Amino acid sequence: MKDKIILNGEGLQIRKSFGCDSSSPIDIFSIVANTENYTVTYYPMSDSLSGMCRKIGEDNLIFINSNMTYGRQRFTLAHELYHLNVERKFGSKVCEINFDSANESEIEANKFASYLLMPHEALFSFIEKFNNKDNYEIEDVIKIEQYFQISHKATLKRLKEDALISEENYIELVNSKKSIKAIASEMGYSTMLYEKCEGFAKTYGAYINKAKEVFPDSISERRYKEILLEGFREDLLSINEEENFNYD
Amino acid sequence: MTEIIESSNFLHERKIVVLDADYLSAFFISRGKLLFLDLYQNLQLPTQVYNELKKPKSSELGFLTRLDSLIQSGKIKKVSIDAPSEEIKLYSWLVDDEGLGKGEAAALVIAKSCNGILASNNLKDVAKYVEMFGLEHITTARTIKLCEERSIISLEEAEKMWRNMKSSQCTIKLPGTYKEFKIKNE
Repeated sequence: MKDKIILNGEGLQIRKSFGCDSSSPIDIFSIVANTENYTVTYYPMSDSLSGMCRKIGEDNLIFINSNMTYGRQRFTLAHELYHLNVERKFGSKVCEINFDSANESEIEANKFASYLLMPHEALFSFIEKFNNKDNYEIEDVIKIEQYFQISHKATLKRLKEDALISEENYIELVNSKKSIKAIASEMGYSTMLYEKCEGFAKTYGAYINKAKEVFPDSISERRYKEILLEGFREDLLSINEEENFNYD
Repeated sequence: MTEIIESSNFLHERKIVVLDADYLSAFFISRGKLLFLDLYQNLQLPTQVYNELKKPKSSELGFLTRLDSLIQSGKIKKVSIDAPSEEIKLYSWLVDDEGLGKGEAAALVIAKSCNGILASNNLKDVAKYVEMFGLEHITTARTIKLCEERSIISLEEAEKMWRNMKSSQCTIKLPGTYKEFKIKNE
């Protein structure tokens, strides 16, 4: 199993490859969808799946379960980036939410995702404001997760693994009956991170861009519309309906 | 009246007419008379075209129920391209190499294989293949004209249909009025 220092380093390298700095929160959806050769499809999948990915030649295909919360979707995208960019001899992978605890690849991908979204130095820099307190409150965890836009569960896990909170503090926070969403709202934060996304289907990135590139020189208008529909982008069809069919 | 009914029976084109999505949807969306039923005896709908009409956006336009009922009653026959066959090879060439949509490719191949008539409004992308395969071709506009000339519908009905199609959500873009089209195409 890779050490967390290596995974953090790999996270920083991937940030750099996407043109991001080593500490700021990142809009991972936008970054990946706007990177050449990446296609991201959001699709409602079963509750047992978080996502999947496949590499075909130069093309990277990522599928995210759009039934999950926004925070979980972000984490899954970061997780899939590990499989696509860091693992050697990678072809395709289906990622379950509750994977086998002996599955090293999945454990490493989860840790990588945490470091990609919340690099080690960035987290430590952020918590300086807490003045080395021994015990974290729910509100402290919320501040961290809201800043880095990472799920509550992933944030707690990371705080424990980095020894920023004790085992007892971790258990206390995990078992808290308080509503995270309600507290975040009272603190003035958006609750989008915790919201389930009602299972939409949409594709972004290279798939759409490549279709635009080859239309109309290499494909017909019907084919272009087919491609958009197959990518769940019927919202883009109306833009094209300005084009006329020739009449007789 | 009897004479008109008898002559309209004889006017039923016996050749197979292969229906493409835009041709069909122009009639359905404008809620006009389905004139192709009056003109043609042998109507075939490629499975790929049917699947295209089933998709969101198309199916939201609400005519799938009507189409299904025509298929069930046998007035329109849903057809597939057999595999393996020369037709499948041609279909694959049109889709994979020539970049055509699955529906328009299937319609072209089926029309060619049965020496039928292609009913499609898409002159822009399929004209080249209509010529290449030596196909007969009918559009929605010409269908209206044929029916008006054969008194299946009146001039007034043709104009109304024309106006409805222009103002509806169908993708066909018709010029001016039916009368202007008729004069231009005498």
